[in-house]
Amino acid sequence: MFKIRSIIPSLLTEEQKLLQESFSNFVEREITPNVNKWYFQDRQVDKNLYKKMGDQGFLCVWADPKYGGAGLGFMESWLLANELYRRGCGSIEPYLHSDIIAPYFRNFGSQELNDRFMPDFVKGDKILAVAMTEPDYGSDVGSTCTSAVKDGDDYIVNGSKIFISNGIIADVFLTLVRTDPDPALKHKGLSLLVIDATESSGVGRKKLEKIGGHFLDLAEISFDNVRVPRKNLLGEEGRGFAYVMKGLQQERLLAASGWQSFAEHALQEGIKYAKQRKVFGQSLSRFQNTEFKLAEVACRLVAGRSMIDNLVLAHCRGEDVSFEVACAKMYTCDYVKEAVDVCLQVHGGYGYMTEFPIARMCMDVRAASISAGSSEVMKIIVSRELFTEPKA
Amino acid sequence: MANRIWVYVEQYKGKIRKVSLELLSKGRQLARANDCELEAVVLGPETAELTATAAAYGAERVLFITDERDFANYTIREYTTLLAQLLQTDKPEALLLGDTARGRDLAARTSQRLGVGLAADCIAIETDPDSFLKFKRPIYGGRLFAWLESANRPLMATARPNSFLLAEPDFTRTASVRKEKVNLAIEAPREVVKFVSKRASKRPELTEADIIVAGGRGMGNADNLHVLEDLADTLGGVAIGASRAVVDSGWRDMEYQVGQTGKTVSPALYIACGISGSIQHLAGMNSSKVIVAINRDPNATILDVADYALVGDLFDIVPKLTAEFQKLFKADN
Amino acid sequence: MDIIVCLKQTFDTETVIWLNEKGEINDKDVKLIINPYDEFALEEALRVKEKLGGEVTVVSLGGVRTQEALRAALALGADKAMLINCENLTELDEMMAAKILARAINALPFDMIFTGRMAIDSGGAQMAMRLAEEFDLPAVSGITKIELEGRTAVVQHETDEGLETVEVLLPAVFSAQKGLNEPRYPVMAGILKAKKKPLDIIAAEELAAGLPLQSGMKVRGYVAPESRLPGRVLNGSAAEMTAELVRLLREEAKVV
Repeated sequence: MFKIRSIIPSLLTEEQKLLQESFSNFVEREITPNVNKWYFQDRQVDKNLYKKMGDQGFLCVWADPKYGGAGLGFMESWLLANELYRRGCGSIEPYLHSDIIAPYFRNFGSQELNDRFMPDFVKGDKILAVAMTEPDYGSDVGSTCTSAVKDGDDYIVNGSKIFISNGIIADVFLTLVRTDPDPALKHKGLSLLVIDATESSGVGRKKLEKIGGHFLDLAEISFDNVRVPRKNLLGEEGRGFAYVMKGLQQERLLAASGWQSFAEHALQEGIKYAKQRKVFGQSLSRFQNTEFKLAEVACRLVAGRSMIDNLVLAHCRGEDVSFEVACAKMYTCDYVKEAVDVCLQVHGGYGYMTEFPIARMCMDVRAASISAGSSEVMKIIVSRELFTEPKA
Repeated sequence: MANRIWVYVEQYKGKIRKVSLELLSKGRQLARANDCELEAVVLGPETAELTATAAAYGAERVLFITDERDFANYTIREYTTLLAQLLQTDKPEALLLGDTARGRDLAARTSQRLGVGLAADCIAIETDPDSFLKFKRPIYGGRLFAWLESANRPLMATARPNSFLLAEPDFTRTASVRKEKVNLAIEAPREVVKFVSKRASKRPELTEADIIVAGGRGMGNADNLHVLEDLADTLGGVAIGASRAVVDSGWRDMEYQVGQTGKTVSPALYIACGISGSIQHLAGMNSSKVIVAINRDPNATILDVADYALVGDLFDIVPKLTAEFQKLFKADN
Repeated sequence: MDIIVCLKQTFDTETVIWLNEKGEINDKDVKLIINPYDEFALEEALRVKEKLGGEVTVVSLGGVRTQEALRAALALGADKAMLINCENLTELDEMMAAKILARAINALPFDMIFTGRMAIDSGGAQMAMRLAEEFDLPAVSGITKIELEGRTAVVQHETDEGLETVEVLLPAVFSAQKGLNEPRYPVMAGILKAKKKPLDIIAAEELAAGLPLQSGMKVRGYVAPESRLPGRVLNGSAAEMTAELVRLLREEAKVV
């Protein structure tokens, strides 16, 4: 079976390979048999998956051993995150919990906050969600207006957030709130607050119905006079926006590389189908249109793979490649839609049947250019860089 | 003394196992082609019936080996000593055994004791001008075959059941009898069989069956398997097999599993119902002489290896097939 | 209770088997796995260790890549690993392999040796008996259950007569059959610990000194399976197909 080559496997240590294989086996046993049930029946992943992953040590692998983590690096996180996309299961997102949200605690949270929360995140006893987007403010994150007003030792939080991944199963919401109402401050009045729904009441959840990505429970979250201890502030007041900006390279890289792997899986599905399907007495793969269309997809993916491999390695080295990552996010999320669409077309009528993985992948892929930084925002970032003079 | 080929005669439920008779048939052919004598070897006390049957299938001599206690059953370790001692004194050119559980264990232990190689699970044995005999055996689940030979004697091999044709027995033939007693130097037994829970099924054992009706995931649930039982009964109480999916789902016990981690079978006819045909399953039955596949999925892999493929609902087809066989057998009578 | 587990690394089941121009089996870029039956053997050894204490040592005859399999075994909980590198020896038959393996094991203390019932590549199913012979020990093949009572192992295995229960005095050798247990899979903590556990590599040539390496079975050559004649898809209604099938099975195939 054809496979797009990546340079990363040859660079892995024995332990990394073993880790990848172990998780791959875990996915085969715990996730693959449930895919259709979770996607089409339950319309979400089983919450217990997090606990199972936590028990096996597959959550927050970078976390300090004193919290039960393995103290590993980005490469290991990436290997695990990639595994699910590689199988066309993009919207199962434990990596969101592990590698996008939990790192905020390590990077900006106090020792006390980490001691209190990290063990549960590592074990999967508490699931994380991040609440930033609001009904009126998506890309314009700086205008967030969910308020957090001081009251004694607490904040009182009011407002609503929308499109919150894992909004239904999550226990803890890392929430972007306005702690300083002064309009002149704009984004400098924002803070990150850890809202533990198991401790604070008033957190309302409403599941959102979407056209795809059905492993993921997306929700609208409302905060109605939610009382949150002030010690749940992550880092300093007014630094919330700055913290969010710092985490974006990793988040966007994980998304971009995920969709690249997702597209590679779609190509394999297309090739598999074309090989065994017979049309007018011969294999579908012998028709030039089919060959050429898949060849075009393959070329794009080879280019994309090269780009992603480089960025993953650069990120592992700690380099600032936020510009290139923004390009990668935009690029991969555009062609992955095309790749999936071409491969679905190759399937003919069967591509429209939910029984076939490509149909499910098609339902998922439309979100690629919207979530984790829309293509429009990426264009703003890229074009700004083009016309900004470098600092002296 | 002329060169000899030995065939180990294994007993099962008081009778000679079919595979031993197949080997006597083949052994006779090989012996005649190479100017050798064919000896049947029984690790147990002499009986007239054993001698007569062995002779009928081609043995010129029957050798009975026991120790002073004259048991009919020993541990593999003890069997190995009985066999190895005589192999060392008599030095036959070759020793052939059936590839049964006991045959394989005995052959392995004996060949290790003698320091010779073993060609296990052979599906062909041929005369060779240079190495006397060469052996063909499957590897990688039958996706490849290896031809083996050795310069050492005795040449040892186990044969897969149903690989060699049973000759027409000639009960007018006689064989001379030889009895040998080996001193087993009895020590306190290191292994003791406490009890055997007899298998419930009256059906033939899978690895020696001539016809097998097998069911896969397409059967749907355990209750539906009666459809296969009916077909198997109609065909004469033949064996029933199962794919791994059926065993893993708990619809049948492990002893019915055909496949890479189950049993390897070689029937003349294998009827696969609702089995998709994974590599693991094919590894267990791809040496079947005739394969019939019944499956509703026109793209199921098993249809590619089947000699006869029926695409459709097995719950419609199998009962009708049973009825057709009933018609056929009724007309025969 | 010290246990030695003999592990073999084999081609993955889905591997396409083909011969190169020299008539050798292609092993480039092939995915390798731990022989599935050996996983049952290792799992049982780990369970015994968890219950009764002692050490589990995994031993494997193989090449450089076999280290992956041994690391994986260490990650699952084995205490020590030993690789007997036989890349410099021409293909060993089961008899010679057992002799070399036995020499390696001889230096280690053990109460039991576990192997898998059969390697899915060679289909040999002999190692347990051969090792038992080398050490003059009792052996039971294809066990589906084992219970330890002091120095006695009570095991169950399928024979043609039925399910046999055998009491065996240790030390002894057992081969594992499917159904013995459900193997665990590695957790992060195990993977990290594996790095610190000993994995010794010995050259097989050293162990094999003095052995008549050519005295066993030799492979003369490999052949592809004879392709089955293309089959026939029967047409028509269920009634028509079944009638036709029975006719073909009787008259053409002559199997009923």
